[in-house]
Amino acid sequence: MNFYLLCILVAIAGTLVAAVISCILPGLHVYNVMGFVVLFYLPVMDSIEPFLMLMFLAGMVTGFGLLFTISSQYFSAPDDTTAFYFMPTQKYLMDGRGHESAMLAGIGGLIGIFGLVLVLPFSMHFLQMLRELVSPHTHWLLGSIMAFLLISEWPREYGRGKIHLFSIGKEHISLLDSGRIPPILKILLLEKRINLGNNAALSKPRSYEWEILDGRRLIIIHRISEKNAEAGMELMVLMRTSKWIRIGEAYKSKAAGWLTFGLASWLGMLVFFKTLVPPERAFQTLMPVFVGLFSVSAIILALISKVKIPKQHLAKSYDIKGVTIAQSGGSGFLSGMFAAFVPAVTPGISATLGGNATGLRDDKVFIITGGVNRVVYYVGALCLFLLPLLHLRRGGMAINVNLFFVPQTVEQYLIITAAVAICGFIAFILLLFTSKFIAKVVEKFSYQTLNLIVLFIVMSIIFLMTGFMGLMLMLVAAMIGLVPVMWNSRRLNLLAVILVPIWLNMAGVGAQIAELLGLV
Amino acid sequence: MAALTNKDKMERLTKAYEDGKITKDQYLRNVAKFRTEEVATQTIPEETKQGAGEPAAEPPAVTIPPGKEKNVKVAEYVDRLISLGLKPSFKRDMLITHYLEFDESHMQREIDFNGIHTDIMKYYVEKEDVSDTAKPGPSQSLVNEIQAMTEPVETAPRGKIIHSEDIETDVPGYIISECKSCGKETRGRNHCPSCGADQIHRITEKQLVAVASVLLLLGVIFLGAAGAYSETEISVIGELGETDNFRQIRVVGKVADLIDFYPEKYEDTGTIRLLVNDGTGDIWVKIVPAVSEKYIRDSYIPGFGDMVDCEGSLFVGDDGYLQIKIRDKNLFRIMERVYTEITIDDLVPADIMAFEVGTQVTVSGQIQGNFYIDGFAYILDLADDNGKTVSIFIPDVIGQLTGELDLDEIYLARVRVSGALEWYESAQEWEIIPASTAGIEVVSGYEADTYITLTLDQLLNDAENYSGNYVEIHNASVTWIYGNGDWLFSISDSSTNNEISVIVDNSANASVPFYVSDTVNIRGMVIPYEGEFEIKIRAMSSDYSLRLSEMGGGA
Repeated sequence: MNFYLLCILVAIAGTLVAAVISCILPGLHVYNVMGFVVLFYLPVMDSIEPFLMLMFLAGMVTGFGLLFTISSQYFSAPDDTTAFYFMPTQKYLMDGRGHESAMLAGIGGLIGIFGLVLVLPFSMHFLQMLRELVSPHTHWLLGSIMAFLLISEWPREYGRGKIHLFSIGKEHISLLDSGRIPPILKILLLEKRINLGNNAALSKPRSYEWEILDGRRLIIIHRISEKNAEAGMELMVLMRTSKWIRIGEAYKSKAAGWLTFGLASWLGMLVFFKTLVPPERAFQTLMPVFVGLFSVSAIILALISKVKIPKQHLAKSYDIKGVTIAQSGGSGFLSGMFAAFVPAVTPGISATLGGNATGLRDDKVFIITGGVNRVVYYVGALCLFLLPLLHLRRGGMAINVNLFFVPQTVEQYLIITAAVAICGFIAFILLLFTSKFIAKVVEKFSYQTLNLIVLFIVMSIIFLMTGFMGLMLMLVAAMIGLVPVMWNSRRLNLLAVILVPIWLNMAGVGAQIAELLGLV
Repeated sequence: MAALTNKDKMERLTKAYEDGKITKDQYLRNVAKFRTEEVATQTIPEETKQGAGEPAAEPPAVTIPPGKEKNVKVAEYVDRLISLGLKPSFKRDMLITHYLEFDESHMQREIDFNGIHTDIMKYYVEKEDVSDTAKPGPSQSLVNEIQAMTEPVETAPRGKIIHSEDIETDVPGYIISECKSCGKETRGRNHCPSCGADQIHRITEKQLVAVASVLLLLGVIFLGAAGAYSETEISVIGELGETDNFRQIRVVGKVADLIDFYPEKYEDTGTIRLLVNDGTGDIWVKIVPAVSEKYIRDSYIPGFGDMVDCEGSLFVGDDGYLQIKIRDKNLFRIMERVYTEITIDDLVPADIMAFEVGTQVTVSGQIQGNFYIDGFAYILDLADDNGKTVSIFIPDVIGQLTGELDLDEIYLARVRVSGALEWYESAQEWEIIPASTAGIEVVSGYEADTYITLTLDQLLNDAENYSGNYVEIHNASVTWIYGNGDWLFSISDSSTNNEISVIVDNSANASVPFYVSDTVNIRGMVIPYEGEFEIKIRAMSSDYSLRLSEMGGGA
């Protein structure tokens, strides 16, 4: 058989494996799967051509890049790259637009593949020069990124601490307008165990709002349109805490963000400087950490929230405009390349930086950007590794591959690029059908049961791969992963788990800090 | 087909509801829609509907305070809509405040301008010129747009379903519109009131698949390009320079020096380094441990004089230093070795011009001596039947990489040695460097030599016949010694007054030094030397020289 054809067939096999794993083993990170594949391959590498193995992994990583969105979308098991557009996709899922959201991420993936195939081959000299320029400055670049993460953790709870108590009829408007609190309102409030004090004062700060200030509580009566109210009830009664309490709540998220950053940093130092999992599986040390921080915490949240997935609509067209695709594609490609190029920067961080740099805000933009970003990060890392003149070794993919293969020729790079393009197409088609299938059946399952099954699968995998200590490590990571979820801070801070240790090591003080922490 | 009036549509709608073909909710929503459309149609002034032909009165210029442009525009727009007869759900001020305070998605849910979506407002605010002087009132394009939005949808043919993918109906004259994104009813709006999805500007599955399939084409193009790059062009070493740094290059040339090996500390592998010359210059080729591991296992080791074809990324260092690293086992090839059969007799008298350095030759003979330079190399003496010898130089690195030399096996064995010729400058002679220890092929093992016992007279009278034979002379007397007498002396015996020289190989079995008049027994090989003959006492043989008595004094 023609060698090229064999290469492409092997790559397609990798994509199919990725599709199956994405659908039946949610929560499993592509690098973990890859680690295992390499582990089984190394003893037989004399019998199987390393380049063919590389093709298999290339197909798999391309497949994962596009298809992992299934796992995070429908099974609430995001990884470190999907966790950052997890919320918008969940919003889509709850609107019955899960398939559309998956396809938006898929569109992002397609853009990423196009970018890698069409841009990288012409960027060799530029990237080579860029590496020469950036390499000596990596440590302070990482430091700046961390500073940005900490500074940009801005109070976000202000004005959001409203609880919808109930709605009352519009016939009470006249009473409110005359400065009196309708008796029915007092009764309803009492039912909610809120007794209005004697000093409760009614005011009308806005034309569509009335406020009852009672001590530290603020009750707002909000006039709403007929769409959002039941028939005959047009006034929504909300409760909000007073200013200082609200300010406290606002800083709660900031404090939670910093706490998350600190705990994740500590965990990162722990796993970087201590071998907690069995030594023969040491190359999988980060796996329980990442699964715990991102997947397990999301699953626990899904279990607690008792969400029921609504019937999903299988859209045949998607609400997205060409200009939005172009904007998000550009932003995602740049940020993905940044993540693939700079050590320790993962797609979540680069997406935030890219979002800030390009000023794009929207759920759709977020999802597409995330899709581009993750594909460019994963597949781009492989392409950069093989790119002539550069051979940049970044990320788990390149490190694993480098165990048995050293890139050499232009021919190898071109074959890989061809495989990425072809597998990208196949993965997209697979995503189209798989997402439709899952969207059709997902509502028939109890979300809780589904999440319990996913949790069981994830824990089993961790236990099998890293043993009891790995499981414990995962649980600790999951607890830390819950902090931003519970206190509404950014999950991005969780990435301090790799950012801080790598930064400290690059600055040459990693060992000293570890010693200070009593880790060595 | 004549367009249906709203009255007709209402009647049909009511009938459809009574027949149970549509739900109450659908019925109510469509009724509400028709009413809105009626109001809109009736209240749009005729002059506005006529379009761009009518010149509008020039409005007075208004100075807008900085930062308030949006407020003014929104206010103008709201007022204009109200003047057109549309009834906003909110009071005027509230509507303006809403728009300015909330984001677009909130706006879509909160504000309902009797079916006219706030996108128009957004469009108006964003697209209209607010730079210098605002012109109150909507532009003609906006008016046209409002008209388009408020036109009754009666042009829909009977039973036509707009924006619907799953709901089927044959009820004429009204529209059941389903959101293309979430599947909920849109009430005929351009944006779904439930999920906010745009119903007009969308990308279809087919379009996406069509775009994605371009990737297939690109894949094939790249495969074709890979085919074009499958063989890297051979570079001329002498032409490589700094501008080629990090470029993937391929060179073909001869290994011009002994190879080096730098073992890894904890693994059975290491870096193999060789100097390659293609006639125009030298380049260092490094075979990295991951690749050399396989080569060592397969004894695929390049040797001095081998022609090699290697490909890797180039590193250009200071002072013209060139190096490529072999990182792929498929990118290094030793060209087929072609050995020329020659004899030691051809080689011994040859000068430097007789052969090209690195010429690959095969020579047969007997291993008659060995010498080990500690930590560096073995030097074996390969002798032919005439006693002429040539050195076989085997560096330790060859033993390390291709298997250790078995000295016991080759001891006095007749062998065929294949290797490359190197000119040994100090001794002004050619020596042979095998590429591997397997290059020393044992033809027959050691057989004990048969010695002919002769008198010196018998030997000298027929020396030419005895040349190459092993002889034994008893009770000879030492007549002359050279230096200390430990490697060259002369003997004579009672049978003749003539003498013969005896030469002793290094480490041969000889009781030395001798002194003149010592009585000795000699065993050795008769060899010709400069027109005469002498006896050679060989190392690694049964030859000997045994001193029987000390006639000349001394020890």
